[in-house]
Amino acid sequence: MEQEESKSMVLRTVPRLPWGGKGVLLRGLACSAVVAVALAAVPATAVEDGRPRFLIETIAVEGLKRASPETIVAVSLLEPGQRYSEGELREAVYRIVRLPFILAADLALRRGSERGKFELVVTVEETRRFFFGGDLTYTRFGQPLAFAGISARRNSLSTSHLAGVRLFVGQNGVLFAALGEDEGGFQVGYNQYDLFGRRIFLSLGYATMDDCCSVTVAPLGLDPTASSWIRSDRFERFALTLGFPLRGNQSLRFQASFDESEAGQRQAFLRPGDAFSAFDHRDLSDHDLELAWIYDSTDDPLLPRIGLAMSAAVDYRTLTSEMGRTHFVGEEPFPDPTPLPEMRTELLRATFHGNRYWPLSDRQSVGLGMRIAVGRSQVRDVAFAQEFIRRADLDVLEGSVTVRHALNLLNGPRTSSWGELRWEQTVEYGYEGTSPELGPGDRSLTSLTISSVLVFRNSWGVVRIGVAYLDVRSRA
Amino acid sequence: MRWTILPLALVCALELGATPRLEVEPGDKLILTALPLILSDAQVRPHLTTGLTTTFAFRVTVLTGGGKLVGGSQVEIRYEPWDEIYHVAVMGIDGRIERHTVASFGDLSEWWKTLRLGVLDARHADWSAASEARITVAVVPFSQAEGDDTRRWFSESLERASRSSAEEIARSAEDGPEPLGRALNLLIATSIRRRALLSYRWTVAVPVEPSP
Repeated sequence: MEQEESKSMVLRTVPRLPWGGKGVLLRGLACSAVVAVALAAVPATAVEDGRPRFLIETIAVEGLKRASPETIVAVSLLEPGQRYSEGELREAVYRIVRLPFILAADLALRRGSERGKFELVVTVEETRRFFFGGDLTYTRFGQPLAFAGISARRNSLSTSHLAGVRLFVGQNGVLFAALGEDEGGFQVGYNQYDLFGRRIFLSLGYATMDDCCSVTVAPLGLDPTASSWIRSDRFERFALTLGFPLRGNQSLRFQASFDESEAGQRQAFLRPGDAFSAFDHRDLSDHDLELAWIYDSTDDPLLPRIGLAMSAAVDYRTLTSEMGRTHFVGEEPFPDPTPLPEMRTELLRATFHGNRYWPLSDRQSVGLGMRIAVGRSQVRDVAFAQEFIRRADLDVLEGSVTVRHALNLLNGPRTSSWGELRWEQTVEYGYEGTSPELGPGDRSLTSLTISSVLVFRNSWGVVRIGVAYLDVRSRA
Repeated sequence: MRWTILPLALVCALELGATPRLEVEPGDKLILTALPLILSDAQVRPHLTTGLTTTFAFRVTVLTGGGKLVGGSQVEIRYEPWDEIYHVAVMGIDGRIERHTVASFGDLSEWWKTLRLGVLDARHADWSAASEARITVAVVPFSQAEGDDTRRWFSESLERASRSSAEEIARSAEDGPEPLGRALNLLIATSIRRRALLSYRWTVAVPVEPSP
C-alpha cells in the first residue's frame, strides 16, 4: 500500500507558467485550459507493473440489515486514504465473505471527490435469521445389530430435525439457539469472530436433552467392549472451540467437549440377544481435548468438489461411568442393585486425516479420503460379558478409506437463489483394532458403509434424505 | 420503458444463442471468432461496470482421430469510472498482450463481435483428422476469482473431521448426540453460497483448410 499522492500537486504547478502577468481573465483562462489538459493526460488510476492501484477515499457498505457496517469495514482491513491493488481488494472481499453471517459480498468502485480517488462500495447479502436442518436415513445392516436395545435389528430409520435462530451481539458476535427432536433437545451457543482483532474464532456452546434415547458408539480404544451407549435420561454437553488462522489455508484448532448423562444402558452391538452383554450405567462422563493443525483448500466446507483437506490432530479422551449389570424380564431391563466399580478408560491418540476432491465436469466430482490413527489407551474396571477387566494397557490402530462421487442435480448462478440439490454416493471401508487382546470377544472391527444421499441446501437450511448399507464384522 | 427493454432482451437472447466459429489461418493457427455477445448477459454485464477486472478465460479442445489438442486465450475488461471507458487486454497463445481502450459499452460489444482470438498453434497437427472442437469460456468476476479458499479456515474449526469407524457406525445408523455440532454446521451451511462461476460452452466443427 502507498500513501496518497494528491492531485493538488498537479494543480500547484499551474501558477509557474512562463507567460503570467497579462491580466486576471487571460491568466485564469490559460490556467483552466492547462489544468484541463493536464487532468486529461493523467490517468485516473495509477498503474504499477501493468496492474492498477486504486486510491480509496471512502468505504461504503450496502445491503446490511442486522450486522454493523463497522464490522464489515474492520474485517476487510482496508483503510481510506490508501492505495490497493485488485489482489489486495480481492483478499479483503474474501475476509468479508468468510464471516458466517454473510452469504455473498461484492466490491465496486465509484468516483470519489476528486479525479483519481474512489469510493469503494461493499455490497453484502446477509444470512437468514432462522435456520433449519433435517435428516432422514434408512439403513440396512449386513448382519443383525443391537444398537438401541438388546434386540437384533436388520435395519433402522433415523430421523432428526433442528430449527434455530441467530442474533447479532455487539461487534462480530453471534448468539444462536436451536430446538430439535420431539424429545426436547435444546442448545444455545455464542460465536465470536475476529477476537482481539486477530481473526481468532471462539465458539462456546451448551446442549441438553431431557429424554430418551440418543445412541453413541465410542472408539474401540476407549470402549473395547464395542458397545452402543443408550442415554435414557438427562444428557448435557459443554463445548469450547478456538480457531487460530495461520498462513494461507492453514489453521490451528483447539477443542474441548464435556458430555455428561445421568443414566442409560450399554449393549455390545455385535451380540444382540446376549443378556450378559447388557449393562446399566449411571453418571456417564465423556471428556475430550483436541489440538489440530488443519490445511484446507476445498471450495466448500460441507459439499466440496475441488481441493485438498488435511488435518493432523492429537486428542486425549476419557470415559467414566458407574456400572451395574442389567437383568432382563423379557425385553424389559432392570438394573442390578449391586454396583460394579467405576469404569474408567483413557485414550491418547494421534490422527491424520486427508480428503482430496477432483471435479469431473461442471456437475460431477469424485473424492478420495483416508484416515489413520494410532494411540494408547488404559482400561480400568471394565465389565464385559461375564468377565471383569481390572486394568489393561492397549495399543490402538484405526484406519479408513473413503471414495465419494457427487452429482449436482440443481446448481448454478441461475438457480442458486433458491437452492442446490446434490446426489452423493459414498463407499467407506474402516478398520479398528486393539492389542493385546482382552480375553474373548470382539477385539477388532471392520466396517463397510455404502450410502446414497440426496442433499438440498439453501440459505434457510440443509435437508438430507438417504439410504445406506452397513456391514460391521468383528474378528475374535 | 418496459417495451423498449423487451426487444433488446430478445436481441441479446438471440445473440447468446449464436455459436462461435473456428478458422484456420495460414501457418496452422486456429482462430476463434464470431463470439456470441455474452457481455450482455444479465449475469455478466453488472460485473463489467464495477471498476474492477472481469476475466474471460477461453479454452478450446480439438478432438482429433487419436487424441486431442488443447489451446486457449484470455480477455480482461475493466471499466474506468472517471474516464467512462473500458480498458481491454487480450492475451494470445504467443504470450503477447494487446491492450485497447473502448469508449462505450456499445463500442465494446462491436469490438467483441469482431474479435479474432488465436487459440491454438498446431503447425504439425493433422487437421484432416479433426472432428470437432469444444469451446468453453469461463467468466471470472473479480470477487469470485480462483483461489478464494482463505474464507474456509473457520468452518473447519467447527467440524471434527476425524471420527473412528465405530463412531461413524453410530452416526450412520442411529441419531447420535451431536446436537451442538449440528447447529454449528447449520450455521455454516446456511452462510455459504456456492461459487457462481459462469461458463458457456459450445461444440463446433473444425475447418480443415485455411480460410481464404
